[in-house]
Amino acid sequence: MTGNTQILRILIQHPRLDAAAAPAFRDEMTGTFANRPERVLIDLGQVEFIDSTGLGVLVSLMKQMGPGGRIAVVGANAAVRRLFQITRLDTLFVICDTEEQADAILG
Amino acid sequence: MQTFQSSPVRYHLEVLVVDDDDLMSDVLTVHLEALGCNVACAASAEEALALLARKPVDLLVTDWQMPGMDGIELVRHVRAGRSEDSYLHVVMMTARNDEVVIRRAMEAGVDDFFFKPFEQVQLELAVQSAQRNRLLHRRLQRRNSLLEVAHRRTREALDRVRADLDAATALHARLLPAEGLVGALNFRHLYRPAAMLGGDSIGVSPLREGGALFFLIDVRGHGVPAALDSFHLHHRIKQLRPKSPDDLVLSLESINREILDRGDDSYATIACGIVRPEREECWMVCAGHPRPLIAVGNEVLTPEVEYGMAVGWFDNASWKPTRFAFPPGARLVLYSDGVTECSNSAGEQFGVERLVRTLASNAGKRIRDFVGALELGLLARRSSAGFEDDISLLVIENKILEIQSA
Repeated sequence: MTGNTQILRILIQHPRLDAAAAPAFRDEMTGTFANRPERVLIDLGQVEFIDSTGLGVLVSLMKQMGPGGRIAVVGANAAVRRLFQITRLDTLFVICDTEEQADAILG
Repeated sequence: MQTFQSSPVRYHLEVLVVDDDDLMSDVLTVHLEALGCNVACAASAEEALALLARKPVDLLVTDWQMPGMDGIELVRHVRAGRSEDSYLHVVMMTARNDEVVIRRAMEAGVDDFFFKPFEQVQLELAVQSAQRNRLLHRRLQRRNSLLEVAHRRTREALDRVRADLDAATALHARLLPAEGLVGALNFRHLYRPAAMLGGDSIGVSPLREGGALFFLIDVRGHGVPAALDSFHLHHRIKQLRPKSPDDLVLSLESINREILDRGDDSYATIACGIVRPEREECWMVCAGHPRPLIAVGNEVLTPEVEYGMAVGWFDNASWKPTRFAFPPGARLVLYSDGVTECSNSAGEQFGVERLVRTLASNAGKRIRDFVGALELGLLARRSSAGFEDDISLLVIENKILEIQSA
């Protein structure tokens, strides 16, 4: 809990969020997103690479969020940041440098 | 020899008794028949070989010492002439319990021995053992033949799937643009799918107004589903046939809605544009796709094409075309992330920098030389399992000056 807003924190432990890992990650998240959370913080600190399938799962999670939902990302490496920039997902996911910054934005 | 009680027989073994002593053959025949066997007799090894060539035999009972070919030689001949799959239980009769002889007989292929004078129980044991082995052998044969049928059917199914994939691959390849000069533009592409079928597609369509529409599609995922999607999107763009920068946006909006209406998770990144060599300009939209590169002489630049969302994600997505100069002699390069993310065994990616260097170092050469050099560089990184991602690249060269001077 931060302030009055509950933030759902997700640590992605797949170093490669690709076609091989994405189905398992999607299954892990199905239950977590069932309640249509409004504030989500995704920690990509352990993720080295995201391919098109992995990115698709992140987008589908975003679509499952409640109305007015916000999603922030921390720990994205340069390649992942570039991917968010190219696909303009940086306009929908708030890319943060630190967890404190993300908490402040989501709170 | 003791009196003897017949034990229940499930299968009538075909037995061949080989002995030059008629009396011995007769005694064995009586006992074996009482055990439910069908018995044939041969008075010599030569006669036995002739019989074995004519009829199936499950159990061969042969004397060791006989005039002419002896028992061991007979067994050696029999074993050499039969396939490993055919079943034959061989018992040798001998009066000598001599280890050297027994070893020689074993090496020749004898399974068991009757030591003379033999007892009834030896005979029963041999018949029972031969029966059990024969039964197991038949079961195994039946199972093998079932497996063979199953394997053949699987193979046939696989062959059909392969043929379908081959046909689909050929169809997909036919979508690739023509190479060489089209109007004032020179085209060349590189297309190497990760699997037989790729989710990438490259298209070029000359416009009546001059210049050409071009696009590179990268559908999420790989394999057949992605290929079907890219096949569809390729045709859809050509059908919509955008002729102006604004048309490009309208086409992407249509496709975006169409993918969203399907309600699945598919999406695609598309780089598309309209090139007008006589106006020395190019208009492009990058929908979730990497920006192109442009080479003028040996200087390579990245036009600041505005990034937009991938198509199929959000219904409120919007795109904006960007104009950039495309002077005579300039080369425009569109590529999928499969090119720059192509990794070697150490995990090091090909990268944009290497692509830029390859483009710059081939400035004075033909565009086919650039594509050839690039392909070699990428192939050197390919693992035995093939490329990880589909590789596609399109090069367009402005040849307006050559055309005008000709």
